Amino acid sequence: MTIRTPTAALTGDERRPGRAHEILWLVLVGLVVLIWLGPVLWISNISLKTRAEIAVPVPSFIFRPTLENYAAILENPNLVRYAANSLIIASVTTVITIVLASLAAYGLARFTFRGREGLLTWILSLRMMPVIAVVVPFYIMYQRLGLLDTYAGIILAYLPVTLPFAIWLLYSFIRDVPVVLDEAAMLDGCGPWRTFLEIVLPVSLPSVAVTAIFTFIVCWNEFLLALILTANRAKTFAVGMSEFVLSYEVLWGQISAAAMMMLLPLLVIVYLVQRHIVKGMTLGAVR
Amino acid sequence: MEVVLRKLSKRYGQHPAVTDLSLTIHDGEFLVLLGPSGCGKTTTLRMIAGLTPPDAGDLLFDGQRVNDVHPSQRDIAMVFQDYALYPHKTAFENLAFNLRLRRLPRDVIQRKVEATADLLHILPLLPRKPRELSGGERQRVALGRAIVRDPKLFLMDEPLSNLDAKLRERMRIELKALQRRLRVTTVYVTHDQSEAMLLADRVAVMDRGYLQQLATPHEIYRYPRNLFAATFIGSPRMNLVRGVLQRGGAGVRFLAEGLPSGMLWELHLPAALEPLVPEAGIPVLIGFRPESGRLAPGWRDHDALNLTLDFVEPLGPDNLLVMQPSPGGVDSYDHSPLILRVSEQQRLPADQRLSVNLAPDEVYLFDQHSGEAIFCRGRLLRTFGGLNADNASGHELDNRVHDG
Repeated sequence: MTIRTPTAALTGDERRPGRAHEILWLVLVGLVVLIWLGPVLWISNISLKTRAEIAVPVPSFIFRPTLENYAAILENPNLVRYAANSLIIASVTTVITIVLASLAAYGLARFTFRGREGLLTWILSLRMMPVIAVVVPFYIMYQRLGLLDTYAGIILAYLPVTLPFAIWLLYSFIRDVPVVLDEAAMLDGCGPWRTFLEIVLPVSLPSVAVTAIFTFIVCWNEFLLALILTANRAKTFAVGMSEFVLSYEVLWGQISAAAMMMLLPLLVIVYLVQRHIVKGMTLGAVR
Repeated sequence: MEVVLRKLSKRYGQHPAVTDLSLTIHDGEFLVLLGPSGCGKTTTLRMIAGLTPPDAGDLLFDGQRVNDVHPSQRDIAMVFQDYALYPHKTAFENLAFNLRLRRLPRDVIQRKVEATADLLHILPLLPRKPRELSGGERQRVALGRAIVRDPKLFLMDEPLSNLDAKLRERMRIELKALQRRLRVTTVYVTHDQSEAMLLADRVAVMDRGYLQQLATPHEIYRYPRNLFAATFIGSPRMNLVRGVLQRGGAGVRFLAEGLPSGMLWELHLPAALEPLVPEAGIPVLIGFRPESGRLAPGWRDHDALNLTLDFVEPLGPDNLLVMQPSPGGVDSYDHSPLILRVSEQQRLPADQRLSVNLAPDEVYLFDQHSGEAIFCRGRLLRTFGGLNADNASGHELDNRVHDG
């Protein structure tokens, strides 16, 4: 007499489909990760090769790694200066952007006034403007104004690029902050400024952090405006890096090393800030 | 602080939320705004707070018109339904916020916050953030934030509705005791009629944007102005049966539908009223509360309402007897079951037939068309064709009456 127990009923046939799905899923995810990380891995690969290794017709994974590319960059005083420039320009732009965008977003999210809808649409439309269309006019204007190759100049040029996105991002985040908090603050005696600084802003700090990261990345990676509007003093690292493309050859090793180094600050900043993106910071305020 | 609302109105697009609301809240009074969802009670509260500007009308605090005063300047504390605690601040900082804005000295703030926290039994919770507190604890922090300020007015928007039943009951009593002690004018919004009955000095019953009645809980229970007030207050709901108010020999009497031919009883209304009752009679609804009447087994052929028992709902010390319609028996006017509340010791007949006898001071009479109350528990209420009847509520009321 065979007794049918529940576990006996679960034959390999019933168990395998679940496992198969899991494995398939992992393979798929792995593939996607590989595609995204591929270029980065490849570049890191190249950055550790000598010129000779790079020139080989069939590239190989097995080689003798060298740090000469990285050394070349670090020992180049100009490049180091360009890196500092990038850092300063991106940081200052981010700070200014956050200050202005958060105020704008608060106004748009919490107040009603004539033309509000139109304003929102217009701000969004600014993002769609192709930068390449305005670089030449910018150059001419800047030359007249003496803003070429200055920190102030490039930062000023970046703001119309970063602000629209930051405003929209912060606008949608602030809208998610429950209005009851504003109302409670008002009844406690806060005017609009206090409400913004003491309640809305602190509560949406994770959103501000996210916006700051995005803004910083945009500035850090920006190439076109920096290329046109900076020369020696304010040149950014991205532009400096492009100079490894010489008229007679491309210094792949150095470019790759430079690219890897350009990644570094971003990784550090994202790591630092992501700790502040505590999920559900508004948990407990409502209900 | 005395609060006067004068013909306040607010509409959202086409939808009128509050219409021509006028009432006076006395200094130190606990006024409850009671009504179903959408009746305008929360809108009214928000207009008092200044969070929602009225479309028309005046709001007066101690005689001063405050329509244009910003909420931050009104010296009002509000407890929101979902508490609205500042999530990034500790309980202590939540309580201290207003005091800090008022630039009170550090030690004074410390003292006041601790005193209030002690009052509400949340002292050990002060260093915690809202997300580290339970629902009941958050509610008390929200309450504390209002109390510590010692404001001129408390506004509360269903602050207990998110608590479990047991906690809610306990907090109701604590709240009432607290308000008694503090003697601060309080306006409290709720849809729970038993909560209103317990907490209120006076209740403002609202429906669809209009004030239905403004009176003490006792008065509304005994002398409701209309069908809405009568059926909203009291649980289980008042029983309503169709009838006709007719002239009779010795005063005005009435008949209930579904009775064997014979009168229920004679109401000895003032003889002067008799000519005002038309020959054809006035169609009325006869109301009686579930706890009234004397039960007898079996059906009678006069002076009683004959009912058929469907099932019994035990409540502990009492039982609810739920009736079903049956031929020859009395049926409710809207076909919802008639319900009686009796002591659990009451014996019930095996054949499910019972009859109820009502005394005149247990009966409510409503005009079937307008829903207005004519007669409640021995008192004539309505302005009956020019003759000024004894108006039990006697407060400023200008509004429309709604059918139940």
